[in-house]
Amino acid sequence: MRAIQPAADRKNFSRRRSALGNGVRIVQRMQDTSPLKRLIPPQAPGRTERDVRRALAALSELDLLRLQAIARLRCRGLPGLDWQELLHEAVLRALDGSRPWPRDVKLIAFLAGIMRSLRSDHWRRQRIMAASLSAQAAEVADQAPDPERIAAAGQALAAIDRLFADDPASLAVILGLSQGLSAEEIRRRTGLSETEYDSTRKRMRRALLRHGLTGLP
Amino acid sequence: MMHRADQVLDRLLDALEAELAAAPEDEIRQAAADVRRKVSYAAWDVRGVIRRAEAATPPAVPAAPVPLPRVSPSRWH
Repeated sequence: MRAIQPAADRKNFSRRRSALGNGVRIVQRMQDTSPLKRLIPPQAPGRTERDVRRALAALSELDLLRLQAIARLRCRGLPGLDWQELLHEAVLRALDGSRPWPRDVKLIAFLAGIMRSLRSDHWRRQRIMAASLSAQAAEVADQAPDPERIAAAGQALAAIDRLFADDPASLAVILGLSQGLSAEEIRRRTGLSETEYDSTRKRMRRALLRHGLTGLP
Repeated sequence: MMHRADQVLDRLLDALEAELAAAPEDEIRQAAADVRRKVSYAAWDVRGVIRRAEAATPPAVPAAPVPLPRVSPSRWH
């Protein structure tokens, strides 16, 4: 049976409730009239591990080959690591949430970004391990370039040179792209017409894709 | 100006990756034909790598709702 509330308690309760109601209304009014309100974009809910699994399952066969080619490319200059290990690690990090997947980024670009940062992680780890015998391990890791990394990069650059050894136009376009030049600047520098430039890029992509499939230059 | 080989390589890989990311699908098919690889077989290898990584990561279990602490009727108001 419900106990009858004393009149004083009922009065206090209703007063507290109306005070609370006024407070809520004041806050709402402040939010409605805040000049910042329109400037703050609504927060989209983050992608979940389930979203990653679903997107991975939805990758087309051609996108899988694209991913393989990117993984094989990113292995260049990483001794002791193959494309499968690199891709495996990237997928693991995407799934365990250690790398959040931004809403406006496609899955392939997201995985490619993880592979890119895994390269840096790999070299950082190598340097810390190599320097752990010295007293200044952490300091050394942030300082001068690592000779092993530079040597591996040199070998990787030589391998890319060999990949395009019989196509100097492709090599010139690649050089321009890596220097951040625009298509027009590359054309001006190489003397290629617009059609020649487009077909050179196409040849270059096909060579990279072939390499991505076979691993052979 | 001299550039370190690792920095040159990083920039080069970024540029080449952008090319691969933008490669039209017919070019991927043509490249597979060039090296006499069946697209479905080659894709199967990549799918295998992804499956192994998925198997190594157990699916996240949604968190159970936390029960609210019981409050005695005398403390309702």
